[in-house]
Amino acid sequence: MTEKNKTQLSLLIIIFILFAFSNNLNLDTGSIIEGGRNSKDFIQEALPLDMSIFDAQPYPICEKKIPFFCSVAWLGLSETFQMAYIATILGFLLAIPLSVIASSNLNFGKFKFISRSILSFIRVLPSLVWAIFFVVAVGLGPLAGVLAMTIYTVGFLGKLQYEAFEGVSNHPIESARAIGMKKWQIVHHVVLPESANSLMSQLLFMLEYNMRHGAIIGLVGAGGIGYYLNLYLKLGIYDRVMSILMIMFVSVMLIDSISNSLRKKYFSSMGKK
Amino acid sequence: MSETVFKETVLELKNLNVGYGSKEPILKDINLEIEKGEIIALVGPSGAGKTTLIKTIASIIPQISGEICILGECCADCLPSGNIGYIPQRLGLVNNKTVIENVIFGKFHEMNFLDVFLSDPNKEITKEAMEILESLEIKEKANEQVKFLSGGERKRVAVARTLLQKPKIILADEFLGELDDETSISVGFKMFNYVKKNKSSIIFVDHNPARAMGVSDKIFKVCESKVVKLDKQEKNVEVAI
Repeated sequence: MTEKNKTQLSLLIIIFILFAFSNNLNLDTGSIIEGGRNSKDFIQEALPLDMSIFDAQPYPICEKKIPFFCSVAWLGLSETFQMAYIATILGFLLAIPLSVIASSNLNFGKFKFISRSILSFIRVLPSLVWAIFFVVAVGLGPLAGVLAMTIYTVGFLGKLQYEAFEGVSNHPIESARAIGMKKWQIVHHVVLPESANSLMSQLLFMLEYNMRHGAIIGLVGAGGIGYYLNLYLKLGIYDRVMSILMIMFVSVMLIDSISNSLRKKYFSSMGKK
Repeated sequence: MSETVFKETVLELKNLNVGYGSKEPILKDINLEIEKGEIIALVGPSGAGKTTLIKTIASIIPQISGEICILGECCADCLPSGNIGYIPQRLGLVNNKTVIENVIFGKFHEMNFLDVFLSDPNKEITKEAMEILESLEIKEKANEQVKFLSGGERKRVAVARTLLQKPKIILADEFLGELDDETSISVGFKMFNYVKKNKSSIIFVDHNPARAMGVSDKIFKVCESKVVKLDKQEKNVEVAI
């Protein structure tokens, strides 16, 4: 069989499997066309945007001087940001001891395996599933959201952190060990300072990530802007749904650009006096 | 009339086999005694095992078999203590810390928990560290981060850290390499002067035969899995190295 024939046969096999799987999953084109019509209806109902989410809510009565601070947009977004901030900082701090133990260059023996297993288990479940778990455990509201995001942050940052620790040069670690520094001293005075740039970058990335996911986990009742998104979706008020999606998009873009400029400022100072 | 000299062994290697894990030992059956106040040069071709030997004595690499006795304490799997000062080939400095912070690492084994945690030594330690930095002509860089220093300056920081530590035994892996002659003499003088003044001992790896011969009390050559003592009186030492 020539090379050309082999390529043609491979393509045919790929297309055959594609159709076989589509048929198996009942992916009929009728549903896609129907879906297109529904999407058109949704967009027609969602536009123009309902800007009332920036006005003060009728109840409870707004006692603030600027009505915007009693609006759905402000209340939801600020709650989501606060949840994301608390979860990121707590998760970061809780992840450090686990990632130190999980680092292969710091010689924690069998504890390394235990720590890595804990971090892997946490990451197996997405933050949305953790949110459902905590909503059941502690009830609806921001606490469930903060707990879910904190746990997920520990799993996610823990892995990034121990990889950063393992990337630290062995020379200062060996040198510190030889002059009699204890393990905690090596972690505190050698490993953490040497990986500080990576840790800082990871922290900023996680804050962005938690801000996005803070909105999503609100859908299951874990507080924040997601709570209002869920409410308006259930009530079919799509112009407000679209408004919320727009302010979420803008806020994530804003945080993204702030963290980018912080990263640039931080990393550009490297190598300069 | 002959003077009676009481010799005190600070480091003894007994039937030591060194290498990495289950692989064939790099150096076999090493027996060596280092006296208090001795300056020992370790020479030999690249890849012979000089650094591996130094790292094994510093307890960074576990020995395959045999014993290392430091200040009379023999053990098969020793934990490092503040008695050994170590300057690795790449100096082992913490780049994101300042010069003075790196130097003060040398005193951590004598400081209390809180002072170590806050990296806040008492005034005497700071004063002593600054004096050492001044003697090595790097005092003005005390508050600069190590990552901004030149190669020669970094070497001086590593030496300052060891001098502040005041170890009984110093292990220095090519600590005078890559320095210009003037700096090499000045840094070397400080280190060897410290050793003689404080009755410490030093084992240093050097690729410069003339320097190794000039400053050391004994020269050992690491070659073909063995450590052999060279006679300093022999004219062909340079050739042997």
